[in-house]
Amino acid sequence: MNTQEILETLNKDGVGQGITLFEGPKDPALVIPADRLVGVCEHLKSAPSLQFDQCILVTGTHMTEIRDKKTKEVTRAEGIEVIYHVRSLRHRALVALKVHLSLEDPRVSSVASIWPAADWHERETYDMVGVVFEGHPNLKRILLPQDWEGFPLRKDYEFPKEYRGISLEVDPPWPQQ
Amino acid sequence: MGLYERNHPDVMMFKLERNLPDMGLLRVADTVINWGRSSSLWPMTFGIACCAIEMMAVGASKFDMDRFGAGAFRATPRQADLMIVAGTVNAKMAEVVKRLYDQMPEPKYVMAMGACTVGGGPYWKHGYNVVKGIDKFVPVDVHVPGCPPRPEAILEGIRFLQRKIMARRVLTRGEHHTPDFTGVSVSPGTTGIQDPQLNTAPAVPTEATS
Ligand code: SF4
Repeated sequence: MNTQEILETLNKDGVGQGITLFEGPKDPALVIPADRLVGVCEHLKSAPSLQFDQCILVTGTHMTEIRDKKTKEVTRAEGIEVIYHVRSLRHRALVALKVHLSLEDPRVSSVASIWPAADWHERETYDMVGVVFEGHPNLKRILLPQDWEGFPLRKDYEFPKEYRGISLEVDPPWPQQ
Repeated sequence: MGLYERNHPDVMMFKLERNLPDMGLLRVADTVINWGRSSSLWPMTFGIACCAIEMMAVGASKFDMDRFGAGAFRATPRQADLMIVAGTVNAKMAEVVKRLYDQMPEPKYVMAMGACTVGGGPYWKHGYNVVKGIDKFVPVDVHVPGCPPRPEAILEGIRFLQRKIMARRVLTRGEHHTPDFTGVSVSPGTTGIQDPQLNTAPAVPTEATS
């Protein structure tokens, strides 16, 4: 069962509205509208013909703006992409789901109630790229200290100079290029 | 001056030193004390990252740090003399390392093991949360570079630290250690006692005055 067939199954079951197939350079993925994510995920898990019962990973990426070289048109808007990989052990299938969010207010519903394994992954995504997962049972930073400022895996992140009085700077400083 | 201050080892040693014309005895005592300290360097059991694996290898029988008296890893900072900081110290961990160091009794020594603790290592440019060198918050006695250092390098670090300890003066003080009694506080060694009587005591004979 490949991604194309999964999308066909979703369409047949009547939950495929708004879902598009993303044909990347390597792996295909299903791009899901943010407000329909939980419904689609519930269906992916419960439908007997799908049975995606294992959540492999949840992660996020800060996507920068891409413009066409000649026409200067925006081919990819800046934003945050949340990526879910789920596996069906019964049907031996792996599918990637993507949700596009805005950079200013990245919010999406949590899928931790569907796949408990997503709990910590969503916390890490919040920690690193600052996506707010609504309905998450315990959404706080998982790796960095709670009073850390900023989200390190965003492209515009600035390195802190010190943390609680301990300098984090390079000594001697890194030469300016 | 209370009983405690009068019997404080530093005060007593100062009086002894002042009254003994020949310092040979104290020099011998120094050597014995240093020998004892350097031959029973008990490290603390803790490792933070990949370097800790190599530290364990040094403790195991193939390299056997115990040959140099430094193999008794203590599971508490209260019993440890040497803190081998083995691994990447990030901002969250730095406070813990600092607290462990503060909990160790004097005399205490710190070995910065691996490129991470020496200067940030692989994370020195893009490690937003890594402290680029633990000498930013604890005093370091030996730096052992490498990523990770070979066990031989750690043994060399231990031997270096032992040589360093052997060169220390515990009871006797060299000219550069002569206490300056013009100020209010005297801080021989690390204790920093305040002794008004010592402040009025005659100046310590130095080469220039004697
Ligand atoms: S110096 Fe290298 S081996 Fe040691 S903790 Fe750092 S990255 Fe790991």
